Amino acid sequence: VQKKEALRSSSIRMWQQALLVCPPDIESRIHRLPEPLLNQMEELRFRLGQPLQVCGQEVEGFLHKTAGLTTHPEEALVVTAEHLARVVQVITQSSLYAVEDELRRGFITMQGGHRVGVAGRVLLQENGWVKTIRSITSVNVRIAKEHIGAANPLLPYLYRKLDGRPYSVLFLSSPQCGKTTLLRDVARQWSCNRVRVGKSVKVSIIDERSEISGCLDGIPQFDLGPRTDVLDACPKAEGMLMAIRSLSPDIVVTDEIGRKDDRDAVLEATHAGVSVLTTAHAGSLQEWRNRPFMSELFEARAFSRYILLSRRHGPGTVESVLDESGRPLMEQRAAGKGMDVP
Amino acid sequence: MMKWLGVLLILTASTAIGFRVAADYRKRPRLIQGILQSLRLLRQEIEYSIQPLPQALKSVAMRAPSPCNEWFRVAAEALLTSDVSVESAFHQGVDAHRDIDALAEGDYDVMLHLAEVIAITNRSHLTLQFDTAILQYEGILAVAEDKRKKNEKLWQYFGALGGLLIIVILI
Repeated sequence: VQKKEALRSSSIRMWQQALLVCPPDIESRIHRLPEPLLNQMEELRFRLGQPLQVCGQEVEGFLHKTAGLTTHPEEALVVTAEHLARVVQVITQSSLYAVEDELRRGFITMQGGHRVGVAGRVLLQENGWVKTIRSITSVNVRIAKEHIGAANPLLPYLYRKLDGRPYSVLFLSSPQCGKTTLLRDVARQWSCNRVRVGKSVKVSIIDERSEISGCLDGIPQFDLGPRTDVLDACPKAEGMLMAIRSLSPDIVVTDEIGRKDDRDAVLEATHAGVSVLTTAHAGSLQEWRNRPFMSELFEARAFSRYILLSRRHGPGTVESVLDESGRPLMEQRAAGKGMDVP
Repeated sequence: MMKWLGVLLILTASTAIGFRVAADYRKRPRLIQGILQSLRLLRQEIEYSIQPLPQALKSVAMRAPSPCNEWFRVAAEALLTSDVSVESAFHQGVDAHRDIDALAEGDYDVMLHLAEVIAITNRSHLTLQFDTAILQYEGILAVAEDKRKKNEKLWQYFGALGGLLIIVILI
């Protein structure tokens, strides 16, 4: 009961923080929505001249002109240029110039680790790369969820029983299945000395997209434990090597590997005796192995554990835990649940 | 006796008025110099430190010469504590600064125009905006300096001589 209450209050805190970006008339309407619905809310989508869309686990609808949600766009509250200007002003802190680098990547991280994706007119540099986005017409506020303890059922699979050495672990799933949330919790649990009591572990997080730590001005907005160093907005491959050279980590944590450089950096880390916790987009181990450069990681046994996730019972449903050769160690029970019941 | 007292009063009053107007001519270039210095500090905070605007304004308020720093302090305060646009925050800053009557109405316009674009412009365009604003203030400063040279002494003499003229006419 205590755990559920803590999760509920954490969830309320998270969406209340995210609602700060909303113009007052929208904020008051959202505040009037029923609490269970608010707790399920994952995204608020502002599109100029279109109804405000609310998305989440088992929630999909438009904010009604008067109260509640509706599925009929004509009954919904339409996002005006003033609404959008106010949202952009809050997320950029009235300083578009200060978030240019983030805009180049298509999103801005706001206080609380919430990620705000933007769309509009893209300006290109002479070399054809994205310079920035101007005339912003769509804003997607993704409400960050911090599920402390979400990785608890996985902890026995994360270290070698003989000496407690952390395993290199790869989380695999399609998007929005809770990979990053679980990764963050595993990193925190190692840092807090909770995976294997008595085993003190230094963790370095290479957070290329500020998603694991939710850094704002370099300061992590999520609880990452007392033994964690964060290289914020640092390219993965370069950051992993920097961390190994200068921060002497036991575990390096990074998100969404997939390129040649990432493969080389993971191999470098594992050869240096540093464990790697990371994620990749794939529906199965075989799908991941079929991706360019990734099969070499499998063949080199760079990862000792593969954790497959889905949204079957909510984000973070653990479908199976596989060993380094792909043999299952744990399968999802029929009645298993996602992160909502850690 | 009363006549001489009156003469003294008229002479003192007219000289004081002359010196007061001359002081405004002297003060205006100094204030514009202060605004120019603040603008350069703001540019530094934005272009090199890439500070978000409220923090940049706060930092300028701490380093800029008085009384211009009040303008930036009020604007920073407004942005940090209330739900206002950048233009409104700068207007609030200007309102807090308007009691300095040595400045002309147009002296605020350059900064207020900058406030209109500062929140929605990227760094490269902002550099151009700062260049333009600094050039405009340098122009305003040159004109103000010219006026000071021309009018400062003139008003000092004019005050005293005007007083003497009134006395001669009355006597």
